[in-house]
Amino acid sequence: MKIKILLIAIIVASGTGCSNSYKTTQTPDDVYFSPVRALEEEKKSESNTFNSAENREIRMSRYDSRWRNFNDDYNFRYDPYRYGYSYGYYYNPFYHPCPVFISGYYPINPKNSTPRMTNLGSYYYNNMQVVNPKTGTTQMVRSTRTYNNSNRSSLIRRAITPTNDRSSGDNNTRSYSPSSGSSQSSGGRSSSGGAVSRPGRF
Amino acid sequence: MKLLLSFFFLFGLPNISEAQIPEDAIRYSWFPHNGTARNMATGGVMGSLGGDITAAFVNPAGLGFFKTGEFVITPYYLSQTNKANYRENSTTADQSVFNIGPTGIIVGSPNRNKPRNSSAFSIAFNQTANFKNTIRYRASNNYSSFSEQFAEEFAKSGYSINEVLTTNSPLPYTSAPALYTYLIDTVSINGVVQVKAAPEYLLDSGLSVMQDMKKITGGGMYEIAFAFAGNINDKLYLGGTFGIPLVDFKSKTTFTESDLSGDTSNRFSSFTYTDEYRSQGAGANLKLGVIYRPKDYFRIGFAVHTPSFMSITDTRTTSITTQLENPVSNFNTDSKIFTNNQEGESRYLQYTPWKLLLSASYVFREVEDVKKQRGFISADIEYIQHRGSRFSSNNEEPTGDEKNYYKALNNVVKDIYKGTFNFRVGGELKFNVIMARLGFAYYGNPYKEEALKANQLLLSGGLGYRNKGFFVDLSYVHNTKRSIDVPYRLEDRANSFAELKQKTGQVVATLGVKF
Repeated sequence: MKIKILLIAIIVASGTGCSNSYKTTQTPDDVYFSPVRALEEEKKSESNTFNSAENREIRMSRYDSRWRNFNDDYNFRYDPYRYGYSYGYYYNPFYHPCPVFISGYYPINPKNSTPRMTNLGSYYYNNMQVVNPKTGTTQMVRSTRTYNNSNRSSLIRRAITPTNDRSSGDNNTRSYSPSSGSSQSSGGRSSSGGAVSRPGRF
Repeated sequence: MKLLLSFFFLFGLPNISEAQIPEDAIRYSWFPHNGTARNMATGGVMGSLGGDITAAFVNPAGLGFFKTGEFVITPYYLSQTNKANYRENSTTADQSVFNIGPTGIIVGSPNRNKPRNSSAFSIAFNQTANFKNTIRYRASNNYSSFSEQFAEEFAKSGYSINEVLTTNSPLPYTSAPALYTYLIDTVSINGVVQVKAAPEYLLDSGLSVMQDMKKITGGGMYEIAFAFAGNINDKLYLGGTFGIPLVDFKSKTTFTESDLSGDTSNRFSSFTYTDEYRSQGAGANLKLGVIYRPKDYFRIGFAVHTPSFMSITDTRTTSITTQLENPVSNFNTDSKIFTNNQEGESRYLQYTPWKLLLSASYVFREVEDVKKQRGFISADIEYIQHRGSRFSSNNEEPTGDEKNYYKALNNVVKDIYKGTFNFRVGGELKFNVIMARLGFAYYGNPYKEEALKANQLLLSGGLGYRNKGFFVDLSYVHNTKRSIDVPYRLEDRANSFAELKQKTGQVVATLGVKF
């Protein structure tokens, strides 16, 4: 917070310190009318050091870490013929026009990439089939979702058990029936780590 | 430029971005527009008015009005009060934040041979959405438990306990810690094995559980805009902005459920679930606009915003502490043991919806002499198709389950959200160097379902001073926001949600210098 305030103060101070060409004339308001400014002769800088090779290299190194190693004479791992080797691939323009990916290169401790998921089934509406009495045609109508926002609601909790799952109106989705590796999807499952034992329960 | 870049980094911008549940879709599309103090005081109108750096984020054609240059900075202070009504019990929470609105530079260049033609470019930065907020609600519940979502998820997954309790678990943030701490477990009922959550024993016997939810969010959505506009004969203005949206969203949710009955034989005492995650990312978008002046004083504008294509990374850790009874036992763990002893990290792509904007303005006295300028009135109408947000995996090797999840997620987004019209109206009265402004804005309900009420109503006013090459604008915006928060969702029971009423007071200042 203090840094933000300090920075704003510096910017304001530097802005107000700048000279401007409207101190003695009316300050234009571009919403209403924007006047044409008096033309100033363009000044060309004598030397454009910004485009020097060194500065270009510094700018490149901000985007690609490999440039940072480029001029490091003391970096014994730098090898122009196995460029990028430590990143899982290397690039040797003399032999190959494209980077060569090293087979069998795997991160030692991969991050778990499970998405932040929710039960999407709870968002869906149930569609009801409705018959038009006049025309006799049927159409699917989205039913109204029910919410329970009060302890005095007319909706009474029903325990979800295997015996009342059909009659209660609640769908029993909680039976424990592991599919033993037969995935619901074609892509397979990602349960690939070592076992974690639960603490004992007394 | 270096100063500008260091400025961006000092304000804590992210280097990467995340959103993987349906609610994430509207986080990046349903928020009030953020502009300079002058713009905010007039309700945020900028679809046809022009002449303000805010145009770079709304209708870049408005920059075409500039034949001069200016530098502006917009700090603002925001104070919020949240009132949550959950199961007929009200709770309030306060929050305040200091941040930065549109800041940048505009350079207008008139054509030397044709003074009625000109061009302008701008580089600007803006916090387009503020995510800092605190929501808290607390009430007893005799119908369902937060932990039932874990039971439902685990049972539906088809995984065995051993498949879930691994160092690289497929359900590492929810079912795995819930199983590990025995918040959920398998139990044989009538000879059939079923997944059951410990608080269900209370609820099934007619008792209630006390629920306490606290969600603290932070960060924001920012944008760096590179805008260019051209003016043809002071009649037709065309503009385009290449925007780089940056997302940094932080969320920490703590949900506690406890047994207040005093009965120590009902198997459950309490649990606390903590979910901490951060979404960081960056992307790109385009804004294209046109403003036409059919005759002096009158302007009409149209703009289209493409979706923001964002690459986002989520890092996440959760933890559960469970206290059971009969026998008394306490268990706790965090998700890291199920994510290779480090934070989980998932990458995905998110596309925000398209946005269309139509606007008209009437400017009293578009003359050079500022003493004769009298004021303006302007109105914008904006359409956003909130159901147009899309997600897809950006992980290196997404599993089949993951691909299916994103496909289902996109279907849910299409199913539960709708397109909304947003309205903004505002005006200014000008008295030589002093200006007075008023504005109004309304943002419609993005939820398709009628039971879920949400909207935002903004009233604003402000003053401005412009003289000797400088200008200072000060405004106050009062936002009354109505929305909902669903603490957990169950497929096999009716869900509960909290009704939120948020009142926000925002003080915005813009300081500028002309050159």
